[in-house]
Amino acid sequence: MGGTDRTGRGHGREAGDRAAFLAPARRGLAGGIPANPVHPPPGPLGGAGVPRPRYRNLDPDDLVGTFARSVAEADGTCHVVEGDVPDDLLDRLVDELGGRKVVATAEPEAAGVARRLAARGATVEPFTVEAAARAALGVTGAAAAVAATGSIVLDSRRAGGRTASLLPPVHLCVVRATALHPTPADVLRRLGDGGGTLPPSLVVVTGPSRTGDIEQLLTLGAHGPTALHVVLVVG
Amino acid sequence: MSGHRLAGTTLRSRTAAAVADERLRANVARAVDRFASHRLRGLAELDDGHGGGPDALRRAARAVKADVLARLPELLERFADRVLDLGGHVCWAPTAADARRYVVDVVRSTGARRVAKSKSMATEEIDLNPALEAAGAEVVETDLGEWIVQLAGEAPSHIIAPALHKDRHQIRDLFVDAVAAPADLPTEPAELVAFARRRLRDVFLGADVGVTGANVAVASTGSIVLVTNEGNGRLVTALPRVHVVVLGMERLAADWDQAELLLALLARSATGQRLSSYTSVVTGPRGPGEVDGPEELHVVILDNGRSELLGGEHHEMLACIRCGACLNVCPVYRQTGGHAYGWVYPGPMGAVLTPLLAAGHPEAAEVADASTLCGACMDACPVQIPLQDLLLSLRRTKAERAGRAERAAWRTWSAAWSDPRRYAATTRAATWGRWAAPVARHLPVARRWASGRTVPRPAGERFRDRWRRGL
Amino acid sequence: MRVSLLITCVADVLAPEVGTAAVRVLRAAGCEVTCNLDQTCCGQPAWNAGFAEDAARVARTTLAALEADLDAGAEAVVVPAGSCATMVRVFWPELFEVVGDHDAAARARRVGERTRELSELIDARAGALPPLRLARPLRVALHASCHMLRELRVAEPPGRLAAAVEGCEVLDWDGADRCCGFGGTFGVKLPEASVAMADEKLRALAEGAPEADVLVGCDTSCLVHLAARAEATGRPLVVRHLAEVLADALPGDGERSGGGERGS
Repeated sequence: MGGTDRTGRGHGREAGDRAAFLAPARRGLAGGIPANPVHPPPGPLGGAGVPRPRYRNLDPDDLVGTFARSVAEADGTCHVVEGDVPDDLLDRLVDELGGRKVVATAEPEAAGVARRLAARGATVEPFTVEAAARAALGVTGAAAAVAATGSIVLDSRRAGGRTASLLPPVHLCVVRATALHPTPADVLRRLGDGGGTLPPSLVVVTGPSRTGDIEQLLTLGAHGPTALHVVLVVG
Repeated sequence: MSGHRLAGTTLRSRTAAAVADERLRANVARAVDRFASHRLRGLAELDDGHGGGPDALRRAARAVKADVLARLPELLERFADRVLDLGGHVCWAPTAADARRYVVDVVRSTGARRVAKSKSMATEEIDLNPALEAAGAEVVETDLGEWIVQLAGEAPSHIIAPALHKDRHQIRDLFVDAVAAPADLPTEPAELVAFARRRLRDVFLGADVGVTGANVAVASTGSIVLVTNEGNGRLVTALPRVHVVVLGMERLAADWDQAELLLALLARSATGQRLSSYTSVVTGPRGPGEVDGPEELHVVILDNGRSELLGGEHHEMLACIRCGACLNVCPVYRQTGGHAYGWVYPGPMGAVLTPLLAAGHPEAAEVADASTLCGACMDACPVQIPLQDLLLSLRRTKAERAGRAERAAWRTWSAAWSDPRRYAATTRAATWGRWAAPVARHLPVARRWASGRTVPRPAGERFRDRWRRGL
Repeated sequence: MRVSLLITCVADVLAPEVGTAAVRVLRAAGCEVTCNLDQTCCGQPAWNAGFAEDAARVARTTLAALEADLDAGAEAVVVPAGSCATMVRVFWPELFEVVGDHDAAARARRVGERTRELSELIDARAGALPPLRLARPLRVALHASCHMLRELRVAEPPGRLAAAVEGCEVLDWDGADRCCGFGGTFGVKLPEASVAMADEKLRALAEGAPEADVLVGCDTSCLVHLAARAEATGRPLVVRHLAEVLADALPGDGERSGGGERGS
């Protein structure tokens, strides 16, 4: 549609009448906004702007520890390691594969793990949707991590897509401690308006997929991974 | 399927039916109690950095939404321009019909047979599914709860947990009846979820168009933020070739400072989580070098009655971020669940939105009565919408159109009780005795009180009599 | 301190003993009590139903009565009902603005600023009270009413006052702050939902504080609603206004307890 290539980039089309759409809103606002007299609104935000939430669970002197706790509290598994992903974790993951395949993105953190998994006999496929749909394990890196919420931040531009971290039942994410930030604000406010451009898909992942739609009981692995392993590489 | 039940029913008939269903009430109470306690725990962890706790952040969030709404036209233009720059398409849809027509056209022009949807209240509001089905598409809801109510032919009963009124046994039976699940499918939630996962995975892989709503749209970057736990929102925006967003025009944030605060409050207010499992930020269609993601992105900006609220008495209702916290603390919702509200949005926010956005239904106005004005909703609201004041205002609007009998009753009352002597006369025990008994027999008000409650007996002597005698 | 008592129509007609008790407690706390009998009702039923003109018409009468007392030297208006105190303090200015009576709105603001719910005022003057002691021990479950809690933000005083009474044991129970379902016109517009809410509250009471002798609150309308439901289901409930419990505990009052029990 609209003279775009397969990636959809280019200038989009506009349907409907913008001016006519906005006219009633403009009219409504023209006379000002009555303040609720019974429960009056606060004044406008001051010079300090929008306050950043502080997180009582965040230990600013121990981001790594906070991150590890938060990942666990979000039902993920955090492995804090020096140097590289440990052999025993890779051995275990290969065991759990039971012969099924692995998909890995081309991110540097993932590629190294992919090679080591292949060396253990796993079939590792490069990232396509078909490979992700077949795989029992998806290996990715991350653009950032967030200590206070135990989140990893996945960037579709960096990973070459979205589904390597989503379709396989197990997601292994390798992220360096240098990419660890204290709070979501440090990532979203910086990435969002920091002058760069956001990737087509940026996902803040906090724990594995879950649902509470049956009796509000937590069940992991609704549509995405049932298990999330985050390896935080320090040093 | 449209599950609206406004026509041909009354608020009282719907609440009475809901209240009579003990199983429904037990399911709802169990669910909202869990949500409400998780919310308190989640919010307690937040502070504004000055010891103001979560309430200071809620105040700030109210100011953020006030700022957004005050300059909404400008922010919408900025947002739309950014989406267009990124190669996305934008449709300005003043009415539900405009939005439906556009989405149907997109689906037709792509030759789509199957549409995968991620739960979206805005698409419920515009009755999108029946329109797509009429155009020959198969529409599958992929949020587990939403899929359950779709299979049952019902409307969602909660804005973030659509099937909260059903228990595991009802869901198992539904799977067996509606989608031929094996009759021995266990009722364990994990088993039911696994069954749904297998069924819906094929839907995702075979869908041509994905339809979502938006939790927040960020004007500065032209981004759509989708918050989900299951991952269906991610799949719907990753696998189909076309992604259509139906965005309520008020769901904007000016920039990421604002968006980030709203998101910090959203998940905690909804489920108590620090963040939902997946906070997806969609900024334009698929990029070069990416193996998945939509080649086409369409954003339908929906008015459908919203702009009429701007600058008016109900302006602040447009601040709603659809977290569901007000439902979870509402003592009325707790007894009735969502279907009693009759339309798309239930609970306190629904009691306000239904008369405003479903104004075409004459039965919508009375939904503002579904509240005791206890104020628990405003206390729970992450953006501090004064819901009880909005309900009162809607009741005033409704009173202006009240029937002659109701107006006359209040008129008679106010004429008598604005005069101290006539007040004294009407409340004297002897007088009361004379008029109370026949009134109790004939007046619907008294009959309604007496259904399930004893009628209080006035004391033999009023306080004023004692006072006059000397205390 | 001289205070003007807004007795409320509900207490005036259905529970005069609440007024009597309030007067005795106020006097014990060093207040001189006046009560202008030109007052009628605060107008809340009509206001909640959307009939602002009718609400304003009635409220104007009560406003004039309270104002006259303040003009005559009363320092505060005291209301033995959280809901009516809310109407005066929070909603009257809005009510009069809505009907375009700016003069009354301004006067209502002045009256509202000086209006106190009974337990709020007594709590602030607790130091002036004599030692309170009940002749017979009483286990009390408190009902926290919605308007007091969330509009007036008077949360602590009732429990603090009750707990300070010797012989009065205040029980903790889940659901104490849940709406009883009365809601003014709500109770007759949606009676099934209203009754269901009362039932859940009563069930929570029976489960959470089964040993309670009495349900105590600061809003007679909530208490009447709950007692009326309890009676209709054949499980009568003793309800009392906090003022009655405090009045019973005043020195030299051991024999007068129990006179005002309702719904039993």
